[in-house]
Amino acid sequence: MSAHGIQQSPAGSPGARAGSPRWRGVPRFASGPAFIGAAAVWIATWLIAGHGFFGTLSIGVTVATFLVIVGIGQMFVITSGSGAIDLSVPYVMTLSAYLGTQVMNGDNGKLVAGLAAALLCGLVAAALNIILIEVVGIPPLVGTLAVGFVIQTVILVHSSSSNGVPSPALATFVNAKWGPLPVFGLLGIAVAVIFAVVLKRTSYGRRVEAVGQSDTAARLAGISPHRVRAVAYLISALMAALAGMFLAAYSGGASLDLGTPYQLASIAVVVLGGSLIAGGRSTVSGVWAAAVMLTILITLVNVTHASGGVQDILEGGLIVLVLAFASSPSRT
Amino acid sequence: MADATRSVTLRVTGVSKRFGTTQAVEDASFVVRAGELIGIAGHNGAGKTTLLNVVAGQLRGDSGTVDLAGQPREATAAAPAPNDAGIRIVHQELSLSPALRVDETAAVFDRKAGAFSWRRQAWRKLRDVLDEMFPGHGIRPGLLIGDLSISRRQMIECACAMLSRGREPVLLILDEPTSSLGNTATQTFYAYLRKRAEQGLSAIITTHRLNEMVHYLDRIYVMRDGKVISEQGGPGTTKESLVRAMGVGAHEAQAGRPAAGPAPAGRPVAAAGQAEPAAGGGELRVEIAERDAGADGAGPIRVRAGEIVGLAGLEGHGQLEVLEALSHSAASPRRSMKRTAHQQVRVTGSASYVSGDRRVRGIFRYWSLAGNVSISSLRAVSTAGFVSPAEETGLAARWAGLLGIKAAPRDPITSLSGGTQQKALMARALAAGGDVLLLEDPTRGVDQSTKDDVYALLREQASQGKCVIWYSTENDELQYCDRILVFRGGRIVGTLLGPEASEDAILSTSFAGSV
Amino acid sequence: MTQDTDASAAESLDAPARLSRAAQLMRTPSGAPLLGMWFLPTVALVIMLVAIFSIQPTAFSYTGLSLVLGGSFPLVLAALAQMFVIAGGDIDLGIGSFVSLVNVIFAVTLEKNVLLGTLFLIGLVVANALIGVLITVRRLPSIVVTLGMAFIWLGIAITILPNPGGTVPAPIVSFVNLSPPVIPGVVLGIVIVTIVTSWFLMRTRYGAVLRATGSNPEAVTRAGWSVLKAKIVLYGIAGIFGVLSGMVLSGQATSGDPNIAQSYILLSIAGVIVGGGSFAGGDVSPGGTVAGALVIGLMAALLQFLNISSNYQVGAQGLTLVVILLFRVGLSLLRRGRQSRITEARA
Repeated sequence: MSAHGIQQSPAGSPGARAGSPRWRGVPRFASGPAFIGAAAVWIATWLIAGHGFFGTLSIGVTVATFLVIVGIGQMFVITSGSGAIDLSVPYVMTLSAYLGTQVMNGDNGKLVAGLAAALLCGLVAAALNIILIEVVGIPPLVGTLAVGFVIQTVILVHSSSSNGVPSPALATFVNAKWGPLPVFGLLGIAVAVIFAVVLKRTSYGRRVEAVGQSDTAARLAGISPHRVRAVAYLISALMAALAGMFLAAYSGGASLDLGTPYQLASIAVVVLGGSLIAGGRSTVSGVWAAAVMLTILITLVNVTHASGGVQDILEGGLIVLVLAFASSPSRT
Repeated sequence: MADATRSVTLRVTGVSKRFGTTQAVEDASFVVRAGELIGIAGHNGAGKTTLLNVVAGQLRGDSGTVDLAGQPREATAAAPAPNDAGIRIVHQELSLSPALRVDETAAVFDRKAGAFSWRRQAWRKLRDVLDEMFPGHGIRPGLLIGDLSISRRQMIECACAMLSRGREPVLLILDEPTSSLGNTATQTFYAYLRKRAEQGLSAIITTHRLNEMVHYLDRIYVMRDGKVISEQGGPGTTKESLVRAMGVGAHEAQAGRPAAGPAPAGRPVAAAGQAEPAAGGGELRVEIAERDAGADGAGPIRVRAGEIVGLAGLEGHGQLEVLEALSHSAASPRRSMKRTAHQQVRVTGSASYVSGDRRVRGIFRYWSLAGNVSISSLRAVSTAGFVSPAEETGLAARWAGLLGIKAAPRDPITSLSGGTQQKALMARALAAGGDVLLLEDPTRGVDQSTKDDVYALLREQASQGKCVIWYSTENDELQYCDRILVFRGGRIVGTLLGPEASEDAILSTSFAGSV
Repeated sequence: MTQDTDASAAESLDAPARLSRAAQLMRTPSGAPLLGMWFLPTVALVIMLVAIFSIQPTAFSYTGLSLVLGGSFPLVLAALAQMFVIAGGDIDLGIGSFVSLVNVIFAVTLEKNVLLGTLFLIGLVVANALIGVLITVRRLPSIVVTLGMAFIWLGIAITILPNPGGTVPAPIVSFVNLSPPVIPGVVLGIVIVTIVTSWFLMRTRYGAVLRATGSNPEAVTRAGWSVLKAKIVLYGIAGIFGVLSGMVLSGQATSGDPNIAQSYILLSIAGVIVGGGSFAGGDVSPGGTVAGALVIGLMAALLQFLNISSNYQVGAQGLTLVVILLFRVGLSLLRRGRQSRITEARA
């Protein structure tokens, strides 16, 4: 059964392929193309702009952190398989940005309260997603979409009232530098490292990948797929809430389409990073590299002084090209 | 039966095929005459599927010739599409789409249907074949494939293969064509084949059901390690002779059926028809009760630690439901009672599950052997939620040693043969510990040597106190059980003692019981 | 092997076990379900229409219907486009930008140069088909490829028309707003489209082949059909419906906007799903999709008549989706009885 449109054939299904070798080693470098792509875009930007070798990378890595955080959350959901995907991400980001900044109201003392409010948004969204998808059994694409729509209404109704301001401390943090290194960029790397460990080294990470490979086999092996996916949706919503908060701090406030670009980008970085859209096998480093690649690409487009339309074309073209020419790990 | 004067439909000479470092097929030769039903027996990994794919032209060989109906070609050359060459293939995996109706499915397979009333035309053609192959099939044209049982789907699969497209078939290649069919369907299927054979059609059949091969086929080739090593046919051919030829070790070949005798000392002995063993037995582990048993019924069936209880009867009569219910009961927080259509079951204790449907319900295909084995024992190999690769490898290596798994812990699970994978799944279940072992046809599609290893393993586990519930579609192996519950129509209609449970006894019990 | 005289009875046990008695009664003699996938969404649509007409009786008039349904017609066409892609086992996240680009072409290119504009539109259909080729031949995940295409279509649209503007040629506007006697043009259009797609996908042999491709492409290949050709057809038809959707939208909006149909990406999927479809491949219903898209689209009208702020429109659409699906879950439990999915898993 293909999970929302993916015809990837299972790697090495024993006996299924006429006479083909029964095994195929699991490729070690699924994230390779993403790193190569990131490096290529980085160098291209430097060459065209004529300056900013490290600057480009520094800014790229920093701004990419938002996408890294959101992408990792999306990755966990996608890894858990059975067509799981979280389309409520941009809406959670936006709502938590609004709520968080309102609570903070420019007051450093309310920083923690603001963050808590943001995370609460994530919690509620996750709860809704979990109930609809895991308890009731609605397909994830549609369930998270519906939740996202409902959240959008809340945003619209809510945003007409006063607009909040992020606390200065948070804004400073997001723009801070530790010597030449961007603190926020380092945070992104740290988050990636932490969650890479979670995915590959913790028992939860094992369970997520197991459920993604085979729901039934996981259940019979003593894992509860519902619980595992519920936690994945929780991670995704919390990450989205967090990213929304940080993004508001970075941009000086919340806005209606704060999260919109992250709808498709969060999915793109998961796949471009080498994780399987059907679930079961993912790479966090790939998510990170793909996020950096996409972020620097925007800079590249700006540097070439192309019009807004060209930027979109390039982004889309890159996604298609990378996919078309990077060797797909699922080829028979 | 083999009439040497008949014309030769297929002559395969010296076909070889290598994949990387594996010589899948080596210098294989065999002959199929017109009107013959030929079997190819062999362990998983013996090369049967590869050889047949080369014969069918779906795979290019490294050397050899394939001469079909007087038209030879090099195995290395491209071959015409099977249908055009007169070959029809029934694959092991089902090729049907659940969203399509039966008549639409027939139309997809039959390219000759016209533009108007194509559904009716296609259905008529399919129905004609179905009526011949499986009289009384009860399939209607408007049913969705997704609503049909597996056995019906397989019937449609077999029938669709006979629909005409391209050349009229001269050769059938059938890979496990009867694996999900009941007894009658199997019989009528082979009767159909025989009738077509009398009209000149030939067929090559591969299946692990050796009894079927012996009973229905003219000659059987045995493959081992990529070579065709033996040709059998005629009165001396038995399941045992096939097994011996397939290269089982000396002591295992002698094992065959163990002599029916008194149960070893200390093991619970059940009298036929009794719900509980008369003497001995450990703690109560499993309870299975018929929901509408009534006051004069035998009461719930109790299974204790150290017992092996088999679930028998025709496939699809409620055994799997009971097994799954047991699994749910053990997994539920309070080990609560679970219901099937006709029973209520309960497990007191923890249970592990081993499925014979490895690809779908068993292995995690992107992982190594170690990952697959440790997944149910994560707590044992991790500290504070962090999995230790060293412990994991150690766990896998230990169980590989115990079960005779000839693979390294780091090997990808998909690089192992079916029998080895099954052992890995066993290891997973045993490593998880637990009081009860639930087996879902664990020796399906597995070579005889592995089967014997599994039987020995189960006896050993039972003697160490494990309670085993064993659903098997191969009645022969159920004689390793202490008791056998015979199912019919979802209900348990009889109990047999292990040693006395021959295929005949099981079948007669399943029809003698009052429903 | 012992003679098993009752095996045929045994096998027929499967049928009752899998269908509850109620569902069994609702079948034609050939075994086909009497109330197919289209039933539930049509019921929802009827309820919706009744609600609208009771709140605003004037809506139940020639003009009223034209307005109320007309607004949803482009979405119906986009949902059908999405349906063809989903039937093939894929998903199209680029449909929104595709339709927007078509609108821009109508508003700008066609205005200036009819030939160029027409070629452009044909080119779009061909391009869509080529996407299908790329996805099939290279075995790429359609969700991400179409996502990339969404950016590309949007980029092209912005390059042609950076800000909303342009004028859709008058002939197109008149054609789209055609007012035949008695039955509003929109209603006619919806009926025609439903009949044509239902007939093609559900009643022709090739339609069956296309649906089979979505769930089991290997088997379809073995049966002698070309999966590549099937995907080209599916994506090509999706392109055609995308162009039709953009055309109708242009006729109604009379000007261009590169972001005009952005919401169609997700709304079209919602329409197919509400219409009974699933992502399993081949599991779609044209009639259901039309009804589902109308239900989703009419939500806006309903809210307007209820004097509810348009802020709630999106939320209401989300809730509708959930309610419909809750019903479906309940109904499917009824249909399958209490038979679990054990035997399905084994297949």
